[in-house]
Amino acid sequence: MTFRRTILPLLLAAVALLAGCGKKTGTAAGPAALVKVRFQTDWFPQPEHGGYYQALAKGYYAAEGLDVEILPGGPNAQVMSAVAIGRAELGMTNGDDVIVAVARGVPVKMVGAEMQRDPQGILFHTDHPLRDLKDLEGKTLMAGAGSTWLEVARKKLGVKFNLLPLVGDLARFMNDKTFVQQCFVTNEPFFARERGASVGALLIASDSYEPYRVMFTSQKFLAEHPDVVAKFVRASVKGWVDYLGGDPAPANQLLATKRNDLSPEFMAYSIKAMNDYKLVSGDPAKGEFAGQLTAARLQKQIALLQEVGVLDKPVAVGDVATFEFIPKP
Amino acid sequence: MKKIPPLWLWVLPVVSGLLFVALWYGVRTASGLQSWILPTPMEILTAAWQEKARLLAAAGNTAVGALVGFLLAGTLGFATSLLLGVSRSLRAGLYPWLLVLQMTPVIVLTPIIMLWAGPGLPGIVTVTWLISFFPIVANMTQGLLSTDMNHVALFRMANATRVQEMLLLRVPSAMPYYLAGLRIAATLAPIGAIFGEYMVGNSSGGTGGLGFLVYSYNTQIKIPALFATALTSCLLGFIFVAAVSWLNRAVLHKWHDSFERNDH
Repeated sequence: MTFRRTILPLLLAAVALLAGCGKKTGTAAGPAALVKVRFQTDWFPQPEHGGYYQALAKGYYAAEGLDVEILPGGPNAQVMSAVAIGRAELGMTNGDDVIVAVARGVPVKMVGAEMQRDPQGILFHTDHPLRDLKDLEGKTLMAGAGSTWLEVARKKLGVKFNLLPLVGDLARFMNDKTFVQQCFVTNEPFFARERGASVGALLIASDSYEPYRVMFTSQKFLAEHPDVVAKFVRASVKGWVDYLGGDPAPANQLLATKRNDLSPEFMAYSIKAMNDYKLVSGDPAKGEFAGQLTAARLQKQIALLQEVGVLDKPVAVGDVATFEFIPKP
Repeated sequence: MKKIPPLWLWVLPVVSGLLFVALWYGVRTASGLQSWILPTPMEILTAAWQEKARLLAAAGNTAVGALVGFLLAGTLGFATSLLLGVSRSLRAGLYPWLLVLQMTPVIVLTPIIMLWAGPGLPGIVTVTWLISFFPIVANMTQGLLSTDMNHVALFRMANATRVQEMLLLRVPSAMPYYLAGLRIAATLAPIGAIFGEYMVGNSSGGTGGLGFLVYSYNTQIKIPALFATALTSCLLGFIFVAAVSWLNRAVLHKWHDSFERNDH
């Protein structure tokens, strides 16, 4: 009520004023044949989005007839709402987020995998190594308070540890050799090593907990433009395979124009980590390939989320994902 | 109170500043802390010089967000105060809701701002506006109500209309209040813009604003550069306040008591 009466009109006025001076006018100027697609990422542009930038830079999207705009994310990126309300046609996020959103009634659906395993990891000093989640027993850990994997470690593996809220810097970690901290295996280890620490990173994804990173869209867009979704997924997966297996320079150059604080060494490290941990390609021995989503793994993940109490009611695999757009390897 | 000689007004801050820097170096040497925990002032200045291109571009982006938000707060604040000043019932009806708006912490509203205004500049401007709007309304409204009753009586005797009374008497006499509100808003606007960038910003323009640099330097453990970002933010704040002080002088110095006294 208070929002309606005071904030909303004032906000709308502010937005209207801004919209007047900020919006580009008319899409008629672009090539008429290309279909405009906005893709929302979850954070500031970074190598973990490299496949999409590679597809853009090498013209894979254009070859499919798509004019793709990659929207940078950031803190509070709210990828889920952006896609659900149509501010972007497609987005990327952790697979668990889509499962939970669907269970809460948000009309979205996964359409392909970006990564077979989420790059979430735990950063440790090599003097006190972690081999698996059970080694967290008795440790003090800094991690995102709501993270699903914490519940898995506690309730499913029975591990006990002290939890500190994640604040995003490495100061305490650098100062304490027994300290461990949640990280992206593709990111923090590089900066800790650059400051002279000897560190390792344990990938949290394991046989008991395997979250995908996924591309998803709204159910409305999926129903109205399945052809566009198919083209986007196909070109994106092609971009990812090329970014990690071929020459990443086109995407890296594009990333450098989006933000100027990423060093070439960091980008090279991040790409190497994505390859070393087989994040995108998956494990060929298990029959995994880039872009793949399987109903069996999603079913297992849904059951796990329910078991640890993240999901309060069951959802059907068919409601959270569709498998028709996944390109053959 | 004893009068301080004019020279001392310059000497004392320099002395306290030098003492502070000496203490800083002392703590650093005595504690043996590394540069990425407590950089020395020299390391911070060096980082500022090395990162000057990035810092300047970011300060420019932040200044745009702060300025747009500030101007929006200045104009909408002015208009809102006129509404509140013109009628007792409007004031009674609207003021509590303005208080609700002010009491709600912006941090709670950020996800909503993100959803409605959108990421990047629109969101940043909305946050800046929210933070700097209220002091302007509160001051200006108080100013409109504080008009000298003798002047009001004079206007009424001359059969002035309410519009004339508002525009020719109340608004000019409320100017010192409005400008005081603007000065508070000027200190808040750059803070609001940096906070907005930190909460709803992105790296737009290839550099982002100062709020983006906080993320960037922090995750990359470039702590001296983080201190340099703080220094840059502080300078930006001073520029905003200086601009409004200049405006304050330009509007008031011919007639207002606060300036007349300096002439004697």
